[in-house]
Amino acid sequence: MNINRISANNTKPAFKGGLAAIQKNAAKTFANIEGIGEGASIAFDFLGKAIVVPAVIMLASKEPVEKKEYSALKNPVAAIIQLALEVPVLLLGSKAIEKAANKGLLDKGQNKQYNEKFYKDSFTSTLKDAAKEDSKNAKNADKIINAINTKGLSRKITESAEDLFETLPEKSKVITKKAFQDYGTAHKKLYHLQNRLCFIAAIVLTPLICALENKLHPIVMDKIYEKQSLGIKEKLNIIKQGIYAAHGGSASNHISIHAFMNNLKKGGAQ
Amino acid sequence: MKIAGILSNIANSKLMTNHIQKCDNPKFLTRTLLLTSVAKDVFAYGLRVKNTLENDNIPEDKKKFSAHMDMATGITTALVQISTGFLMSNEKLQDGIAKKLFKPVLDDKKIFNAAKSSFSAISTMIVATLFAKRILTPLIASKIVYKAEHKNDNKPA
Repeated sequence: MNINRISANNTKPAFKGGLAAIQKNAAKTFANIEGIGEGASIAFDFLGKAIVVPAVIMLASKEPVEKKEYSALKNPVAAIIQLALEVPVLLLGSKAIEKAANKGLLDKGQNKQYNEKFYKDSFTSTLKDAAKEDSKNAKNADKIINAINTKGLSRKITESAEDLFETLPEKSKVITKKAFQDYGTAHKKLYHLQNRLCFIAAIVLTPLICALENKLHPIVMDKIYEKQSLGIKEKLNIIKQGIYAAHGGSASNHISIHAFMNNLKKGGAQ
Repeated sequence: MKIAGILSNIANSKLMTNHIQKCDNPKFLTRTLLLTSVAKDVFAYGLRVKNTLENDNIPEDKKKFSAHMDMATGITTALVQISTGFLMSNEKLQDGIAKKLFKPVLDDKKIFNAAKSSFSAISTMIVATLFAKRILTPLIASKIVYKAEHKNDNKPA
């Protein structure tokens, strides 16, 4: 019996299978990612400023470590401030647009292209009607409607709905599919509209965001470096005690050392 | 309700309606995302240049250098991000990468296409906003400003 051949035969397919499984999982993970829009753009910008820039400064700059550290730390602080200012604009803006669209404030006559609620209600009533003949279908339809009402439209719900449509009678299937397609289209259109309007809002608010960032940034950096200056004070006290001990702690020495320490402090602060 | 009226007019304008219809195309959507990100950067750098030039507290020589640096960074970031982003979102390139990366699901068109479009958007954003904007841009912009600042150094006075 050739043991080498057996082990070789066993290893190769196992590795291949492992790689294929990783690729399959990666594909499923990417397929499940939804809503890549302004939020993703803000997130990538944050990652760049908070991680990539400090890493580049620390690795590439030839400045002394203290200078490098300050420069590197400036960026994550600026990134956090920017994130704290941009995210509320995106979240509140998106919510306001969604509410306005669902109330029909963005309708133009019969054109309700962004009114997701109108198309959702239309779909759920069509689905209920189509599924009521069969108790199993009615139960599944209820599940889908509940999921839509609580989580909103997602890829998983779409898959479950499409499976259910296949079990409906032909005439109902066509009507329900059309209602679902209209709902999906309104959902997508509203999402893209939210992104574009939030982008316009971000551009309009850029001067304000920049001004706020410029005001907040030095305050936050000062707060961070306050802790470091406390460390310097402690170090100075240790030096002070050492000098006192060396000079026997006389009053005259005490005064001159005080003057020396103050000068040192001033120099250190600069 | 004035704001709602303005929003409704913008949302239902021909330009916005056409744009949103085109967003069904993953390549168009990715490039739109890239361009909006670049537009925000360019606007912010433009604002910085204006503020620097109008700030009387900055000494004249430092003011000029700082404004030049911001201007060079703004222009470079736009060019570098757009070129790398458009290259990365190229359909042929993305098709090749996706076919290799998601080989086991090639037959399942639904999963393959969904994975491909998400991967295209994410990889484009990573290359443009992390690599091009944060690594390439500072390197190129600082070289441009250094050359501009020292271009008269060798000329006789």
